[in-house]
Amino acid sequence: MGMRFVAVAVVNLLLFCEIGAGDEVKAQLLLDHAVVAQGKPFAAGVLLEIPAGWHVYWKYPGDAGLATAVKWELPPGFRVSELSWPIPRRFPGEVEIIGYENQVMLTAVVTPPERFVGDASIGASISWLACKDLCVPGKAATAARLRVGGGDEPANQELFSTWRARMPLEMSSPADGKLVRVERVGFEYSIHAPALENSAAYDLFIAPPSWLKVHGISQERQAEGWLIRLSMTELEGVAQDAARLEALLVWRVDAASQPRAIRVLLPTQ
Amino acid sequence: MFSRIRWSVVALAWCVCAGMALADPPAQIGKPAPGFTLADQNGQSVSLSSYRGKIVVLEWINPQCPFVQRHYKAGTMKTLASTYAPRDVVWLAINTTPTATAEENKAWIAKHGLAYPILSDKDGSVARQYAAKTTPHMFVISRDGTLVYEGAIDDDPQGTKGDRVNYVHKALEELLAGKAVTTPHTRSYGCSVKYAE
Repeated sequence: MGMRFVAVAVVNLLLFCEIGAGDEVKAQLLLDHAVVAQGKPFAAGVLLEIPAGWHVYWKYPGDAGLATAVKWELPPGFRVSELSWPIPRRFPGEVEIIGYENQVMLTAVVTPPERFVGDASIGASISWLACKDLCVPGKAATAARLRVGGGDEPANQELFSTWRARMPLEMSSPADGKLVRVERVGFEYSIHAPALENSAAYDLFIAPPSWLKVHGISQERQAEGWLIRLSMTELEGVAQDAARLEALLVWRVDAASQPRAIRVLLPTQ
Repeated sequence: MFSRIRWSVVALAWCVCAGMALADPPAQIGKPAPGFTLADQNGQSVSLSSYRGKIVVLEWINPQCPFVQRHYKAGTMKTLASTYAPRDVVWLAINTTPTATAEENKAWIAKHGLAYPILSDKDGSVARQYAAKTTPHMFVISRDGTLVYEGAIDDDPQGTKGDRVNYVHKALEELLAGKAVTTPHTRSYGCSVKYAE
């Protein structure tokens, strides 16, 4: 009788641990300065430690999952940029899954108001969905402090530097025609991208607004590089908003290196 | 000689066409919804074709998925199903999860007091015919058997919107009013459907 109770308790404990594993995603907020000059922007990073075998999601999770989300709590007058997302990866499966494993830091730039001097507390409410075989939602309320005015003391430089290197190059179009050139007819986009050192094709990640769907993507080698054709269709009856269409062009110099990417913002209006 | 070649070509063409028919492309809006026969939680056979003449809603489900759990806590599917049952709308939940058992399905039905069955699709064949990607993933079939809606239950994956649009509710209201479904297709959200290896 006693042994059976122990067995049930152990099984329940194991089950609880398995189901509770998503809570083991550890989240913290880090700032790249301990002291920053008056009015000067600084970086805030949401760092997630993800248990082995689990993943969290990119801003566009793919066919399933849920984007990781951050809600900022700032002192009056402080402004924060959009989140910057490091280059994600695809996870194997029948359904397209795009996200991160092991560790990821999402960053934003915070700008204090010109006149503010003193201690500032930056808060971030972070929510995520961690999946392995099961999916477990998680959330954390985090905060970090720094002093504005009276000096300049960087902090966590190595970490911010590591994650800055994992960000895509920004290439908004059609103004920036240097690296990537975009032509558009309705929702048919032609993206002219440079040839890669090893002649491989790009790995493409598309993050559409809710009212557009990928109809087809193709990639064709041309003299000057690659021609990527992206065809989108509008979803009838779905409210249109100003959310952008993004194409992430990803490549690796070789199998051992970190991926590199160009982020192209495509017009939808 | 020529007639033998011609018959061989015809036979080959027939085999190719038959082969293509056997490997049906995923269900498409405006086309007949793929038929199926699956066992419910009590082992009873349920065939889509037996509901011709009624509106049918298919709901891909996995009780272990947090999106499904959130919706069942809020009563989203149960409320819709019970609201429209008196208007001849049939609700069928389908669980493709290979490790799901009839007992689990029965327990979920009992826990939530559901008036609709959970059909077992453990080899994923029906999920593949419908290209079901997430739990939940919703499909609405009109009285004449045409697929008229496919996609998300609503426009609120994070579950935070005050004024969310429930696409299934919208489609059912339009069908019952004899109108066309104005939002036939949305991107579904949820946990990925677990397909058998």
